[in-house]
Amino acid sequence: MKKQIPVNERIKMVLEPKRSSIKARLFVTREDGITIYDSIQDNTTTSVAALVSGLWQASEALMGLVHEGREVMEFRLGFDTSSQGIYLFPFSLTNKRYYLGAIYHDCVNPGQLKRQIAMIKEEMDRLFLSEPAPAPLPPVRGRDGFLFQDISDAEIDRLFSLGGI
Amino acid sequence: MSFVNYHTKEINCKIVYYGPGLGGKTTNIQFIYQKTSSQNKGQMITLNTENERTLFFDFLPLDLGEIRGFKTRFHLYTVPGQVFYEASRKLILRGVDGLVFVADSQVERMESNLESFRGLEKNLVDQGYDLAKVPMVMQWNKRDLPNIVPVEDLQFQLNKRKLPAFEAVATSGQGVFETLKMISKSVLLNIKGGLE
Repeated sequence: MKKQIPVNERIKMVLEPKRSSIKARLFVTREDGITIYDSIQDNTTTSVAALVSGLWQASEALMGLVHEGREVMEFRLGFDTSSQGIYLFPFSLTNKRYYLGAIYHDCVNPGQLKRQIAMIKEEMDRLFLSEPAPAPLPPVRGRDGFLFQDISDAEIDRLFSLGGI
Repeated sequence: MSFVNYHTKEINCKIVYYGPGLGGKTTNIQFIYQKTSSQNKGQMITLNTENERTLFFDFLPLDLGEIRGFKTRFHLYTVPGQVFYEASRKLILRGVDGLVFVADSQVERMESNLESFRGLEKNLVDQGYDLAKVPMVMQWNKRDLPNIVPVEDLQFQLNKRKLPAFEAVATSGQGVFETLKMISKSVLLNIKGGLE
């Protein structure tokens, strides 16, 4: 059976080769605020994803106030000046929505950068849009398909103590 | 929905602190942030009004250790409690894996607790959640204040499902981690197996 490549690995395979040619922080987040890819890995990585998710959802809700039934996947979202800003595109992969985005500053030609991001989005669409959602696979563990059959209080205490709490 | 990456063996879960305005949701998150070592927490994001009321959400990413070989990361969110931010609350509930309902124990806040809890149930149903299947923990906050509702009454009025419940004083940290550990356990036990 062919081994399935995880979503984030596939997205990384598209974005990594482009890192050097794009002068911006490049990222992909899932609709619910989970980081899938970020060209900068630091303690702001998860925050970027949460904020992007909130930003998009709030914008979508605002748009819904004046125009019901719009096709949200056609939208893009920008927050910018002539040299710095944020630019977001939605795309679909296996029936789930993701956001491709860039945060840039000191940019001489933002229009060109946005075009580059748009082209990456088009590449993502070509690669992933027609791809059907994978068939559900059998659960890997027992208890009617749940990942963990049981977790003791001691394990939770240990988990938090490892987290420095 | 929780995100399990079997390739890197990572689990990401979203926990939302819900409840009436000024009930102590943000205080819970702030205490967790203060007591967590710097290498295990990300940047705390707070979107406030000028008078420090939550405007959109607070967000705290927590990187914990491993459980059965899976690295776990919890994303803690609070919703704005004030009644007129209903639209924001709906947005933040999307993709939730577990809920902490932070109730204000003061007698005069009981009606607000009930209103907030009814709103939570409605928002979850509107988004297609089965209430019985969403992990939830109740927190009776502000137990240090005078004029508080007895725990039995809080249980009777707000906890018909007999969910796990903890008394708390979020300002001093009492009950904060007990609540977080319980919801974390419930969420982890609720993760479906299979490949992403």
